[in-house]
Amino acid sequence: MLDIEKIIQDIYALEPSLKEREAELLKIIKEIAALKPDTKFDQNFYNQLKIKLMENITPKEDVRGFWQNLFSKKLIFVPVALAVLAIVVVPSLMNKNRAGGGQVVALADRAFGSLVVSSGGTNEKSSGIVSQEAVAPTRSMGLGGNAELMMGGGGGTTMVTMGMSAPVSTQLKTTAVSSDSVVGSGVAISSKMMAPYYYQPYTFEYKGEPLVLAEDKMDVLRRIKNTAVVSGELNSILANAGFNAMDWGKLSGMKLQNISMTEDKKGGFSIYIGVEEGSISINKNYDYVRCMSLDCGPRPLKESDMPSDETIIGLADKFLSEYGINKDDYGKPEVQNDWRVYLGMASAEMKPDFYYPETISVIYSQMLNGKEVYDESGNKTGLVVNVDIREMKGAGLWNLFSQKHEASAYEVEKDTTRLVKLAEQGGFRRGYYYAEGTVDSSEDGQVEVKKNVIELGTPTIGFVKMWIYNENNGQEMIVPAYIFPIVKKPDDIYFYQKNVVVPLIKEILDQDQNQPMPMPMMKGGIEPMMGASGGATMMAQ
Amino acid sequence: MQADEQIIINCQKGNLKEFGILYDKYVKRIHDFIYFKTYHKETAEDLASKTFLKALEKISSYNSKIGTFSSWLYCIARNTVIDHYRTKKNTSDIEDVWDLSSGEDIESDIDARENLAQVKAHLAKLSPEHRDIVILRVWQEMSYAEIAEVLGKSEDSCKMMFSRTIAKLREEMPVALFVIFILMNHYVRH
Repeated sequence: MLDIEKIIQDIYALEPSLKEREAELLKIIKEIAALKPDTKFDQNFYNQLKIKLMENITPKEDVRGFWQNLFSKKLIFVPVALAVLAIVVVPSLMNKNRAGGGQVVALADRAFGSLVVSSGGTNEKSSGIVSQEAVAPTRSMGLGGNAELMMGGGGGTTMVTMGMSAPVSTQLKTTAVSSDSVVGSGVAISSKMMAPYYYQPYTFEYKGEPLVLAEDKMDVLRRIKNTAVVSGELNSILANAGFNAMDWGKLSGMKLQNISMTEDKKGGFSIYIGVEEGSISINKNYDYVRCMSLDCGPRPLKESDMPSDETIIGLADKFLSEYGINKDDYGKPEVQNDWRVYLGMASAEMKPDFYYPETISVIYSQMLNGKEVYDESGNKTGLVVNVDIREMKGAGLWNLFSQKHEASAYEVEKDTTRLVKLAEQGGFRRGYYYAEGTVDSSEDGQVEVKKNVIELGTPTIGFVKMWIYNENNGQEMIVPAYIFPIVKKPDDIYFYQKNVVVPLIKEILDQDQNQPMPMPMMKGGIEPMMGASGGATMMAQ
Repeated sequence: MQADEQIIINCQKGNLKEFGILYDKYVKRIHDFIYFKTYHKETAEDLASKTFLKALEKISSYNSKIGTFSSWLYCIARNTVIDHYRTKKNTSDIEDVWDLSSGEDIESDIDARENLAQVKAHLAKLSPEHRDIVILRVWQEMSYAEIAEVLGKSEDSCKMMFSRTIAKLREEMPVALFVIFILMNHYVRH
């Protein structure tokens, strides 16, 4: 706030005679202050210049390989797209830096503001990261198996899709009813809380070493997204590319959001570039529908067709190498081979008809400051390459993001007892997982509770990707976290999760204490009780 | 928060990533300062970019004994604006958009032109240095000590210049205000 009185007093100190003209002085200063123009400072400019500065800080790489390879393959494109790619997109997305961890620019402490979700904000994405693995284990068994249950990490205000056919209990406790989420086949309710299907919790027990956190503060990271082309540049590109049918200069604030291109040949690739998100995905154009049955098309794959993990990783590596995609920012590749688990669980009758996947994914986990990045369900996140098993070659990729981040330190929760307790509740968002076959209803309506113990080992420090919503603006933050490995679990059920994740930033943990908790579905005569801590007990009425 | 001086020492030792902290701290102020002197969004962004790129390039030559980082950055910004107009007009007597006649400032943002006309009614007759003092003191709310560093003058000198500038504007106020009131009434009615 401009201190006009101070300005006036300074003037009087030098020119006392002007006191007589105070009204006029006030008027002139107020007039000048009121004429201060809107400078139109915007986030796009801020981000673009920051990216440009960082590119000047770190050595540039030759980014031509990837694109030369693509464009040499008869891509359909127009000059404007190429120009935009050359000027804006490619340098941003493909800029290589270095020693696994991308570019990280240090900001002042707490530069991202509060990490606490505002009370009015909805946090649909925050806990709604539903990984493929998070789908109920029955989903992929056999041909056409339907997902019986799909749920996020639990808690929060996750929007959850529950594809179950079981009737929803009339005692199901939800906070509100609206039309923004789905339960069952088309019934919409707001899922401030979600109700697991015949809820039966696992019990997590920490078996690792005593923990000590030395640091008072740790860096929270935020990816710097490409905010596209400012109007002047884009207008100029369009005009120069011969698009003269209209006056581009009349449009203001234009920005490029995405570009899609395709290779004009059978089995070519489609490329989607999310300019705002700074992402690239590549998918193979299958110009025919693959037949999955025995009486048409190629025969279904057999177990003997399935290559080893080493072979699959080799094919994924070859694909990345062919397209000049650098792997420096990523960790050791891992094959997503859950089909092997499902195969192991399939009964002898089901095994002859078991569906062997035509495409298998390899994940190259994202590395930041030498640490792996996870999602909230404890799965590694990063670049994913799809390998076509029938053709034995790379069939596309996704999650190829620009690797430019800014970092700001936040206070760490040093009470490791609290952190372990959160882990023993299933993690920050608390895992409420349907444990198939663990609940049995007897004739008198009583429920037999079977205790499923999941043992957690000593954690490593990594990062977890979280969506933080504040004032209805969501942003993806990469938060330091304890990654507790699951070292032991029951043999007779498939528990998909491999790790339990607990963020280490105090204010994030503090906010979660007030979030609504899911309520289990009820069976006759049984009143489920859940404390705010997420532990669960069942009590006969 | 780290002091500028420590961040610059770190940058000069090779940890240039910390330049991002300085960027975050000053980018809006520098951008706004340049916008005030150009009244054109794209030009302001272009010149602000050049300012920070120059600062990054020359950070090793910055000497804190001569002045603060802030004043150094403002000096680069001022010179970048002057270079822009002098190169464009191929003359040596233009420093910013206020030195252009109303027929020459067609580059300015359409929605800001009437505002520019009003500001010109007040400030166009001032020297570029006096205008900068007014901008820095009233629009950027800088202290005289900060202004003195930016302009390379003493604090007292800046106080005196500002005081006399306001006194001069006051003397011319009847005409200037008349124009402003007419324009403002026009705005209110429309």
